[in-house]
Formats: sequence, C-alpha cells, structure tokens
Amino acid sequence: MRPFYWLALVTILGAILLPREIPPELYPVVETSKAATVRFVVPLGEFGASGGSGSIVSPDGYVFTNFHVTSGVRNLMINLDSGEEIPARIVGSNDKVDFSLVKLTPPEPRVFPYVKLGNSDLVKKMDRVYAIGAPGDRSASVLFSPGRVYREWQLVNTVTAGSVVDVHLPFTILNPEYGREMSPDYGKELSAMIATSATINAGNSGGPLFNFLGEQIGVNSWGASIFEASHIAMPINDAKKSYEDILSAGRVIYPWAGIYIFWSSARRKGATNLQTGGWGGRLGIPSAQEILAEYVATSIKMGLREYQKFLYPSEIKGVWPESPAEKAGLAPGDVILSVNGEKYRDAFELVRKIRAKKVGEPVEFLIKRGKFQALVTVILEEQPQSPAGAGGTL
Amino acid sequence: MKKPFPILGALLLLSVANAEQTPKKLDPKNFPYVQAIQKVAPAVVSVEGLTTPGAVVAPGVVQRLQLQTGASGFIVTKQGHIITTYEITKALKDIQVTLTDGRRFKAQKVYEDRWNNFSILQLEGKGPFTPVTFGDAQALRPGESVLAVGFPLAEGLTATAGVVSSLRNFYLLTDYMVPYAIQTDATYYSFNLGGPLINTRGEVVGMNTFSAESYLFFLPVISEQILRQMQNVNFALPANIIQEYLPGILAGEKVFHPWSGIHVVEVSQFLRYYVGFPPEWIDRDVGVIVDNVDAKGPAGKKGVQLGDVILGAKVYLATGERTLKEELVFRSPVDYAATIAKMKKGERIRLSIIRGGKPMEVEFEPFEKPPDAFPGTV
Repeated sequence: MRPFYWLALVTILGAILLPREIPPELYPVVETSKAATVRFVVPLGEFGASGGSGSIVSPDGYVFTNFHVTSGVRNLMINLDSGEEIPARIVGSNDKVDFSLVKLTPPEPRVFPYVKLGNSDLVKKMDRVYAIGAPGDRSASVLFSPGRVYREWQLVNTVTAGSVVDVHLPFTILNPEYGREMSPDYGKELSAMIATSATINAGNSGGPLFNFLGEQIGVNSWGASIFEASHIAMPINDAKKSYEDILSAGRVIYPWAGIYIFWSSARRKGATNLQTGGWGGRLGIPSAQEILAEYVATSIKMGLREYQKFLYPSEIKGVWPESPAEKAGLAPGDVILSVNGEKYRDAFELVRKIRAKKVGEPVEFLIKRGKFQALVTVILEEQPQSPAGAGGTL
Repeated sequence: MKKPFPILGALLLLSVANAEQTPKKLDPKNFPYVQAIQKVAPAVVSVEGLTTPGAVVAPGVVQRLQLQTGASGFIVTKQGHIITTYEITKALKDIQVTLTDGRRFKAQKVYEDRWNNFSILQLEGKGPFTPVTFGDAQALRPGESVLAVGFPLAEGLTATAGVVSSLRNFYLLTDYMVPYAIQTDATYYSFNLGGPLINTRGEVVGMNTFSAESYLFFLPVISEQILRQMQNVNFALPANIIQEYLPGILAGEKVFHPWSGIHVVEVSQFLRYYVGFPPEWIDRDVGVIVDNVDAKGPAGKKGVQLGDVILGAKVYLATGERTLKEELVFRSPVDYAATIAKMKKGERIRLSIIRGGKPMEVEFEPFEKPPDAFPGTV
C-alpha cells in the first residue's frame, strides 16, 4: 500500500480523535435540552410557594430540582415544554444540599424526553454554559401590577448564556440572625458550587445548567440579584449522588464525624429558634429584613475578610455528644492539621474531603491541642437528620 | 508495508499533538461579532433632545425639569427615516440626530406608535444615508447569538452580547401585546433602547424596547421589590412588525391596533366550579375569566360582562362572505391577548362564553385601541 493512503487515514483518524470541539452557536443543542426542562406550576391561591424549574433526567420521568422549590407546595403540578400539565410527587429530598427528587406521575405510563447528565468535576473556569428555566413568579406578578393589572410573569423556556466564573465556590450563608434559609441550618453543605455569569432569576431555581455540548452540569440554585455574574448552581455530581442514594436507600447519605467547624453548637441551637417562616412565609413576599439578610449574606459570601476566618488550619468549634468525634476523644479547641496525612486549603475543602469518604470508613486526623500533637482515628457514621447533623458539621 | 502500525501510531500521535499545540490563529477583526457591528454601524444613530417639562415619562412619574436626554435609533430608508423608541422620544423636542460618522442632523417626528412603542423620525438634510438590512426575526431560535447595539449620546458605538432567550407573545411596557416578541439576555441600559438588535450576520432582527429591570424601576412599588428585580429579562420589538408597517406609514397610513376592551385572567380550579364549568371542561386547562371591561370597547358594547369565562373563539376574515380564518381555545390570558393582537382590520371574532353556567356566544369587530383605554385591557 502506498504511504499516502496511510497519511490520509491518519489525518481522518486524527480529526476524529481530536478533543471535541465546542460549537460556536448553541441553538442546535438548546432544542433538545429545552424539551426536557420543566416548570413547577404554582396553583393560584397557593401562596406559600414560588415558582421554579426542573429537568427530567430519566425516560420514566424523574425530575431534579431544588428543595426550596418543592417545599411548601401541597399538590405538585409540572408543566412540560409541550404545555401539558402533569401531576408529580416528591420521591425524596434533602434540605441540606437543597435537592429534591420528583417523579412525574402521568395517568398512563409514557416515555419523557430527558437530559444527558455530564460530569461536573470536568467543569473549568471560563467554560461556556447556558441555563434554561422559567424566571419570574406569581408573588412578584402581584406587585407588578399598576392598577390591579395581573400579568403572567413566569417566562417559560428562557435561555440565558454565560460562562463559568468559579468552581468549588463555598456558598455558605453565614449569618444566623435571620430567617430559616439564612440560618446555618441551610445551605451549609453547599461548599463547592459553580458560579456562572448566565443570568439566574427567581423562578430559575431547580432548572438545569448545561455546557455547550448539551450535558447538564449543574442545578441552578441561587441568583444573586444584587451582583451580576455571580449566579450559583449546584454541581450535577452532588445531585447524581443524592439521586442514587434516594433510589437505593430512600434518603441522602453523607458520612459524618460530628465536628462543628464553622459555628459552635450553642450558637447553632440558638439559631434554630429563629426558624420563623422565611421566604415565602406569609404571602410569598420577603420582608425588608429578609431582603437585607440576603444582601448581607451575599456580601459576606463574597467578602475576603470573612473567608480568611476559614483558612487552614481549622479549629474545632464544637463536638456533638456521642458523635464519632467525641467517641474518638476530640474536643473543642483542637486544631485539625491534616486529614489522612493530607493538608487542606480551607474549612470548605476539609468538608469536601470528609464528604468524599464512605460511612464506616476510618479517617485519621492530625490534631494539635496546646503544645501537643496527636493522631486520632475517627470512624465515620451516617450524618443524622436534624438537629445533630445540621449546621456546618463534618 | 511490514510495520504499518507503529508508523500509524506515531503519525496519529503527531497529528493530535500538533493540533493541540498550535491553536488556530484568530484575527480579532475577523470575529463574527466585530464584523456584524461594523456592518450595522453606519445606520446606527444617537437621538438627543430636550425633555418637555411636565411630561409623563413613566406611569406615575412626571418629569418637571427640562433635561437633555436621548436614545439610540437606526436608519431604515435611503431617504433618511430613522426608527427609535417612543417611550423616550415622546417627551423630546428639538431633536438632534448624530450618525456614527459624526454628521449631525435635525429631525422631525413623522409617526408615533404609542402601543408598539416606536417612533419614526425624518432627518432634515441631504444624504447619503445607509439603511440597515433586516433579517428574519421569525426564523430566530432560542440560543442564537444576538447583539444589542447602541450609540449612547453620540459618545461611541456600544454593543452588548447575549442570546435569544425565547420568542414569546408578550406585553410591552405600553400595555400592548406583541406577538413573537424577542426575549434576550443581552444587557439593555437607558441609552441603547431604540437601537437595533442584530444577529451575527449584521442583520437587524429587532428594536431594543424594554427590560424588566427598567419596568420595575419606574413603578411606584416598595423599594424592597427593586432589590428582588429580574436581571437581563429584556424584550425587543421584532423586525417583521417594523417591516410590515413601515411602507404603509411612509405612504401616510396609520397602524391598526386591534382592541377588544376587556382584561382577562386565569381561571383557578375553584373558580371553575364556582362559575359552573361544563363537566367535560372542568379538568381541562382551558378558559380565561373576564376581570375588567371597558364599556367603550367593542366587547363591552356587545354585552361581555365581568366574570364571563371565555373558552375559545372563531376568527372570521374581513372578506364579504363569512370565511373562517381560525378556531382556537384559550389556555392562558396571553393566548387571548395574542389572538386579538394578530387580527387585521375588519376581521370579526366570535367568543364562546360561559355565563352563569350557560354557554353563549358574542361576536364583535375589534377596533383601534384608544389612548385612554382602561389599563390592562387588550
């Protein structure tokens, strides 16, 4: 055979094996991902809930969304891309990671269009992404109206595009003084979020974030209304883990040592008393205090001064009674120098390291107490549901 | 031909490595965005003028000072007609228009469409003027790249990039429904309103009309709501509407704005039982309920009342014999508003109504929406 045949073959093979090229325009992939994006209908008169979005992830109709979309809704109704309304039920949810798994329950079994799930570990800064959802909610539309004019303000199938601004963003709302979602009980597990410049408004919550190949890489969680280009999405790998746990065990399982790394338990207990309604309490309209809380929390989230408190090494603020950490002899005031011989950058990475382990796995902490250092082995247990497993524990 | 595979492997590796090491050299001047902006640039203008003191610039906001302000616009004919936003230019006098090449002209208002929110101005002076090329707004797909171009106060051309968020029937700031308005996340600000929304080929697909942010800002609502405002929810008037009306307007005709004079809202499940829906319709997501009736309107004159439920309608053409144009059901208030908005002059609509549990029908011909129409009526 002549060599240039080989050359031709090599060129073709080379073209096939090259890294997948990102398409410059995204409308070809948007078509397919739009078909699998759904809207959570808020029945008229049901004021506790705000609208939200979601994405169908399996042909039999499992839907990923945020916990704060499904909480407070009595009868879930889901609006498909085609306009059909289909009843749904909550299969399982976890308020700690702000995740809900919902199953569509159509009268007759059928096959739904579904999104392709990607791998959020591969997401890098500057990756181009797009979000689909239904921004706007009815509680806003009531106030929109000059002269009692009522407008539909859920803008279904809105596509917004942008790029990844940050990965592994610690999105922990640190201010315990305000309502439920502002307390450390909420959002403390969100230690590795994706920040994007694709606009996420109220109502986009729970909707999918895609890369330009059309793979879902995140669940849109928070639109920071005050700062542009700081919209927060939950990585899809966290959602996939919750999905598998809920299907196999009925709940989301995380390993837990019982260490308070962000707040002391006493302060956390005080904060739980403040669970008064929160967003979507009375009429679904936030009070001035709650708005201010969001403002403060968002500022703190971004603030370097606040972040520096969580840099290496982390001090144990509290230990839950009869937790694995207490059994192993850890006490408040101990400084964690390393985990399994590895150092960490900040408290959030420490949380991520523990979270990556399995229940029943031993973890070796190098501890500094006063002048002394010691290796302590903690056998992880399953993180209990509230109250012990809450509030920035690891 | 004894050892093809090592050679093949080596070549393969080389080709992959080469491709990764030498990225394509790109000249920034050849980027599609840059070329698109350069193509549209000669037709983009800045519209400036003095506000009339005492003018109502937004619902409930009276401008008492005389200010110099402006918007963007673009040239649509070789005779020097430009199109810009009505919302800002309605209160302007002594209008000065600056082209991107630095030429300045005085301009006269030729036509103002308060409902579709555009004004047409005529430049006073000799050309040549370069009009824009219109693209097909109906062929846009969600996800397609668009650019909002503006020439704020003649200070230099600006462009913000985004994607088409969706094409939807939507109400403009003026309370008027526009079928297939373009929703985009390309950022709007005060001075690129009225400017063109272009695709990556430099064709104009719409006019930047309003953003939800500015909408909220103008409303006399509590300041908390402003903090919770929506970002980058922006709407453009689609170019096909401009293209459709422009020849008529230049020939001296007026644009017809169909108006039925009622305002409808969704029917909740509870209301379905209360108003006596037929059993076979009760579980179907169909029907809108009349919330407000303007007695001056055609529907009000024909006896449509508060609390009537409208299930659907038949639309008849304006020709001599009755020819059915379309028959439809209303799933949402937007459906009803869009049906009225798409009607031509002389067409008649026959509504299927349920009043007090009894079905009935009302037929009327929408007429021109008056400036003092009750707010919210379509």
